Amino acid sequence: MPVTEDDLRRVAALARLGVPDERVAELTAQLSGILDHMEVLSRVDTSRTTAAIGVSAGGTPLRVDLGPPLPLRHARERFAPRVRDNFFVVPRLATHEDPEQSTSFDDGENVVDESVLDEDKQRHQADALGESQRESTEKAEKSNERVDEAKAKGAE
Amino acid sequence: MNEGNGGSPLELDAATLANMVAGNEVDPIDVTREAFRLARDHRLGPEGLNAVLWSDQRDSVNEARALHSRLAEGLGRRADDGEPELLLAGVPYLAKDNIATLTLKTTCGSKILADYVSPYEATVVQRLRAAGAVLVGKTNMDEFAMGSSTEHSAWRPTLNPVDQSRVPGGSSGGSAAAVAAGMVRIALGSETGGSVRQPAAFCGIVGVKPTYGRVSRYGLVAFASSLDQVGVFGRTVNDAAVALEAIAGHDPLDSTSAIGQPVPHYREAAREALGGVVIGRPKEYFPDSLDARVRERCDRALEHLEGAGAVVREVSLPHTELAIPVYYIVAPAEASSNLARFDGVRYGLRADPGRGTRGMYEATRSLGFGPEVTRRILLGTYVLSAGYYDAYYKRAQEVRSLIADDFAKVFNSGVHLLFTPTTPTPAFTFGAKKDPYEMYMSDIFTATANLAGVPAMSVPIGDVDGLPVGGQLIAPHFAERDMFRAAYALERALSAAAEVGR
Repeated sequence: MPVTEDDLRRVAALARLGVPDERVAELTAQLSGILDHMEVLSRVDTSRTTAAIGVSAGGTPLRVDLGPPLPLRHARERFAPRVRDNFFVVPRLATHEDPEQSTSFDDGENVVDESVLDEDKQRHQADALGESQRESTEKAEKSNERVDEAKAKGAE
Repeated sequence: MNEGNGGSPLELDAATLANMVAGNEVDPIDVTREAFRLARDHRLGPEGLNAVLWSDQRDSVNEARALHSRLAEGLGRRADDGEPELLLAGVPYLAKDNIATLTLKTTCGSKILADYVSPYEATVVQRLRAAGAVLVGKTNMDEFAMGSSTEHSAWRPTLNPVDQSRVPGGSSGGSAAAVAAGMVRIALGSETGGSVRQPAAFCGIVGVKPTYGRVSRYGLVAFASSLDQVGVFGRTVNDAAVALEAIAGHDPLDSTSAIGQPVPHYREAAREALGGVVIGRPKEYFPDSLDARVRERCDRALEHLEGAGAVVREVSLPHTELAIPVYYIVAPAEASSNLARFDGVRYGLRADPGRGTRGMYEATRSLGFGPEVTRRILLGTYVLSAGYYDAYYKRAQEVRSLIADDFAKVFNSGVHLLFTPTTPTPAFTFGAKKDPYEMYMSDIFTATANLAGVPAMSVPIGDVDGLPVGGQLIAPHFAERDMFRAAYALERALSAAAEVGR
């Protein structure tokens, strides 16, 4: 199954990788070349085997999923690109978004909650998150409508 | 510190050094400074071999100072047997740059984490500190551990100290080069398909990949989660044995870490003969195409193992040749998922061309990831995508079961260990493997153990034209002690033979 340049562009979009046009041909050829070597697997009789799930002797050990997140030893500002009031900041949406280029539903500058440092902040963040989630849901719905409209226009 | 012959405490093996530090015969602060002096002498930094990426002498000396206080508070030698309370008291070590540390950066050899300092610390780092070891730096690696030569590091390749025109192997090439050059006796690496054993073989030192689940991965940046395992390098078998003893065992912070598997004292296997041990020689690891001189070194090593009392038996692992196709589907598939987290939001690099979050993700990732990581994410996304999942990913997982069954069958037939070459050839030159798949084939003898989850190690068994050759021992799940027993015997026999030949 040779990989086409369209396949490569589709996979790059799925992986959120911006692949410049001048590299598409080279990467397509490399992927095809690598996958040619994988064809040998199609000739193996696997009718009497099941797919490996894990390789731990005695299966995967399980534990109860409990407890607060572990405390972070550095403030988020030290390792995150942009932080405000202990939230991670994501970019503002471009004013004139081209639906062909992007399907992102965010509108305005959103903040994303992550692990928390202590209980007080946890409560504070839980409140803030509730609000921002409601907001972003509404925005996403609006944005969806816009994308649908744009698609309808494109189809005409 | 003495400059003369035998003057450096780092010429002592890790266990002996720990004992002397525990007995107050050597000051851990001096040892730490000596490691930094050796790093400068051997030019292990970016201006030389480029093995050590990040280090801070003042922080390390402070760690040694803290250890000094612990020793003074009664954690010196044990009263009953004179052994050190702290297994690695004062022993300096290096960690691969994908193992989380609080003060030194953790970049995974990638631009996307260029300035990343982890807000938490890996369990293995905590355990080594608890055992008295002192972290003296972070080592170079192929970006996100994807590679077999360190040529894929965003911070330029590491040079092999044995021959600087050659690669040190990879992905843990910086750790291997620094141990081989003599800066430290032990170092941490990580394994997904051979990333400790292959560089150990190329640099002429010992490298161990423990059983999947033997060592905690908390704080190891994930590459392929069904394969990844922290591994250790040692200048000698005993160095590696002590290091593994210090880091092995259950960790509640790692859900894949094994429960109910006590950690044996691997060092106790040091003096045992191999009477009653059956060692398999899998014929698939000795193909006609194998470098004749590598084959000859392996046959000689097998004779030494027989001389120590082992019985060598020809065995077959029929699905071996499928390991690379399987590995290069499973590992990139898991990597494409694990590396999705590098998106410019929570940590690391952000490139924002002002085209929304989607544009930010794409710009960040294309700027931050190097060519090999990009290739593998694309490959992994492709084999998981609709229409190809069954043909590639599901099929690969089925064949992976067959590879694991090969090992199970051999180990259930009265064979205790396997012996193979670690790599088909000694270290290759920079730029020698331009075709990606040709580079992937470097892992042909090592990836099988990762796919099956069994432990394996590489031991130096001689050289070819001055380049080290590694022999590989593979054991059943959690049978590291048996593996070390054979490794000790092999090392002893080879060193005795070298004495006679002198």
